[in-house]
Amino acid sequence: MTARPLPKFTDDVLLSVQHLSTEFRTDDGVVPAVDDVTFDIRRGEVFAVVGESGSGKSVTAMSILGLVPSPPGQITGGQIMWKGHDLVQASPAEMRAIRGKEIAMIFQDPMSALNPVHTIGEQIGEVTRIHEGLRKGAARTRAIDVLSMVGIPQPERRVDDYPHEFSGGMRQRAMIAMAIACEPDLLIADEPTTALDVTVQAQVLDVLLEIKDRINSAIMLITHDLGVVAGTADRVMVMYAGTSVEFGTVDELFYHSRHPYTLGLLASLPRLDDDSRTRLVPIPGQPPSLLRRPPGCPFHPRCAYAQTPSPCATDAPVMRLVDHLDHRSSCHFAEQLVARPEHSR
Amino acid sequence: MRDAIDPRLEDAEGSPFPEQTDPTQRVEQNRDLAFEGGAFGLGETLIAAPSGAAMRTDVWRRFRRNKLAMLGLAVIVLLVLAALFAPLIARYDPYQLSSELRKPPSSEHWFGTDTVGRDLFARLVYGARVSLSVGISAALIATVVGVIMGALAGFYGGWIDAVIMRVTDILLAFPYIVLAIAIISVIGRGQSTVILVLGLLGWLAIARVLRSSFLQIKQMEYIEAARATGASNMRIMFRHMLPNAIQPVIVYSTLFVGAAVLSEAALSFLGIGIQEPTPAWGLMVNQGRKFLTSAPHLLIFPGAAIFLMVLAFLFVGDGLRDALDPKLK
Amino acid sequence: MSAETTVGAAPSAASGPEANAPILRAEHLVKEFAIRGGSMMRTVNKVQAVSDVSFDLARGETLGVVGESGCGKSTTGRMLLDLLHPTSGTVSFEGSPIAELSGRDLRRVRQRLQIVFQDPYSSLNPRMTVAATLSEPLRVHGQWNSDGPERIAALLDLVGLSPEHARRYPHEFSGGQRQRVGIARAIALEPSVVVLDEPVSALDVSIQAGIVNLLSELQERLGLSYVFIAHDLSVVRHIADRVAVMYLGKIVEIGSRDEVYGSPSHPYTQALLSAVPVPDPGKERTRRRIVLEGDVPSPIDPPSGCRFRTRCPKAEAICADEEPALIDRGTGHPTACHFAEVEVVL
Repeated sequence: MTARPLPKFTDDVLLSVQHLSTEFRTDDGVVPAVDDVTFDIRRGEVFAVVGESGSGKSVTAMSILGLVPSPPGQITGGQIMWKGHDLVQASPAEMRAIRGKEIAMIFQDPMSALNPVHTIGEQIGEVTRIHEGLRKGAARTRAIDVLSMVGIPQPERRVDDYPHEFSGGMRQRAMIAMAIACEPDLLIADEPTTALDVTVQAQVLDVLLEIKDRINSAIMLITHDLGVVAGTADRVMVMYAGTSVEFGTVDELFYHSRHPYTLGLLASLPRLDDDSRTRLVPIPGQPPSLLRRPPGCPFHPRCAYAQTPSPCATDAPVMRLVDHLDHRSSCHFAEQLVARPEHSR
Repeated sequence: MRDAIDPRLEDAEGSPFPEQTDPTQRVEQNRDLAFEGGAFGLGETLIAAPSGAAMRTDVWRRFRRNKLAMLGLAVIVLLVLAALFAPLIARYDPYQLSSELRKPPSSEHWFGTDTVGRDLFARLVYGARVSLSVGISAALIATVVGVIMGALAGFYGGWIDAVIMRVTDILLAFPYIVLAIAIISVIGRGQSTVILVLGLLGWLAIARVLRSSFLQIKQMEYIEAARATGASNMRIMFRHMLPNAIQPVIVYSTLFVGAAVLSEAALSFLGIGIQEPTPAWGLMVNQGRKFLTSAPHLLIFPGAAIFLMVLAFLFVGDGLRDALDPKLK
Repeated sequence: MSAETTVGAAPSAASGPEANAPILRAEHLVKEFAIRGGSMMRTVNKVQAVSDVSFDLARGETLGVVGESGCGKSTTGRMLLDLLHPTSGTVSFEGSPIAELSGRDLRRVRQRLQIVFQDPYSSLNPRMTVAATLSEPLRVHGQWNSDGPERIAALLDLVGLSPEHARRYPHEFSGGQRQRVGIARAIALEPSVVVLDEPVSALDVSIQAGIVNLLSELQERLGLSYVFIAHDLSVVRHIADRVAVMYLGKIVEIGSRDEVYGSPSHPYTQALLSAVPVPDPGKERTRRRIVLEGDVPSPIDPPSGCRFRTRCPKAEAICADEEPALIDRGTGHPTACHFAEVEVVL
């Protein structure tokens, strides 16, 4: 029954992504899945990447880890600086050494991310064997340790169970355990709780935050759920149609947003604590196909603030500082945007 | 908890347990593949089951790009033309005997002559008719019977499914040659017997393929929706399930033509298929093998013809499968 | 120990004139599923997905049915339409039990009860145009005639699509648009009751609002009554008049929207409400959160007595021995807990 702690801000930058662009070549054309995205992640923080489908948030994560499927996909620009090295230039062997040991990933669906024919202990042990060369006995002990860290009861028994013997929430915890087995510095969690029931989601998010503190790592949380972001994130980046549109602390984003998309999203959400029955305010239209992105600002066809004549339809807006220490937005009118009454609750 | 439930959970009428098929997961995963935009550039269109209009042009486009498949198609077209226009192409009557026995290829007889002096080229070209008609007819019979059986088994489930599946299991367990020989010795030899035998053995696999398609589609919400609007079982089976389930069957049937041709060749080779004097490639191979060293052309040409035709159908079948299922790119 | 629960509609909730006669009534619904195994698909075990569920739906009202996975809400929804036959219990429409009807009467009732499904990507036949999908209910019930195309155009207009969309195939539409087609299909026969099974869960967040608004609008314009099944409590708060909370096949609490959200009395409801994250960082930081232990148990072998007791912070001996009935325990609305107590969590 603990309240969540205040967001923390440090200067210890672990990951610095600069102007990252990733493309996919498909039969129908080139898809700019990630277009000129810049952000950084610092030790100890929860960095949330929020967006709807097609926003490019998952592809960004895959790009960091070099997991973009390479015949159709390719990183076409930018740098991913990790502890002084550019991961874009890293060799496959170097990436393999980093994956699992320094940067680990937690996937959305534990059922398909875990191998059904190996026990949980074996799968966790595999990570330690690869990166730390632990032998069987030591690997097993480590597996039991991390299983208990993520709150799985009777870990010394469950370490020999198979994935299908775990329930959904337990499986997700097991996946977290696998990810932290070598105490990575960065955990990338791609929609870790989307497939879980809400009561289990609360548990898993608690585990993630606790783990982060214990091993002093950072979390890159990819999600579409603004409630989860509000409850766990320190800093947030909002993505739309492959680009980042807003970037700032969680309070800046929720209370002082400077981008129409973010404002629109917040206004369209039904609130659990809202007992009025005012009509929801949807964002008109739908997210664009990445094959046919609108010219200029990708959001302009749906934007309540877009004006003509204006640069909205012709010039792609540049992400720039609009507020405070590091609140950035890519709207042409970001400076003039003050949240209208219907957007604040 | 949803994972604790055995996938084969259904009620007395065979309706599946709705709670466990949670599409949110499926949808979430699919949405990350939002790269193939629909014709109107709309949102999260994903690589869903291809639908009517767009499907045919897309499929053809993908098929065209597969060089082997196009080659196979060209060969098939060539063979079909050859079979249709056999009288125009062949200079000789395939049944006409002559005194020029086992002559090698020459300007007179392009592929040489066989053991009783018949022009080999003519026999090959007319033999294409036999092979094609046997292959295609057998495939048709197998497909019709297989689709009906598979649809009944897949749609109704329960004891119908159990019975049909056990029958297919039992029949599939026999080596088909043995079954073929058994049936033919009862019915008698000849082209129609061969077609019948091949067709009746081929429906087994097609039924299984269609049944599994049906089982998959049965879970789809649009089938439930059709039920909710009051559609009858027949309507659901033919209007909703069959058009969506037929794709793998198309692929399999195409491959089956090639297999049937091969089987016919084998049966004719064994002497229980097509009978003399009808020109049939399998028969020709049978004759030719005795003269491997002295008159190899007797074996090479019909053998190559069989090989080419079967390969062509295999390539086309593979190409169709890749073209129909975009996820296999 | 039966859960006697003829829960009448709260008088303030119904917007229609006859607030007293429920348009739909579910009584003691039970649904069992068999687990089949072995080569001949023998029944190996049984699962009771829905165990004794009863409620009323008043004319013009929206009843929200919420719960997590496996609670039986989708199964209940399908039983209301007879898409699944109840193992026992009755569903009555305008007073007449559906199971006893046959022939023409049954068809007439079938028209008045419709459903909207969750997944916009699999609820439309990919090989049928929108026009074909929308005309099918009319054809099946013999209502398709020369003004059919006009009716379809009108339907499309009602749900916010344009008539020229009728010629297109589902894959040419976005998720939100497909869901609109699904809604149009459901109202094509002019039903009185529409069961909505997670109608917005599979849609992008910014699209959900539009669909929820559409549903509210249609309810007003066409006088529909909704059974709104969802796991997203925020959405349900927005659209429901009354809410039933389900857990492992049973209703644990049922009441008006304000009662359930504002003064929940069942520990599960309280935990559920406190677990839902709210898009408000300040609030999230200071909120009181009740975190439950463990996962939802399997319905194959539910806990004895109160099914929630294995995760309940208040569980005591009596909870294992005696199943609590769904009755008003002094909190103003029925709750199935021996220790029901109102706690404001929001």
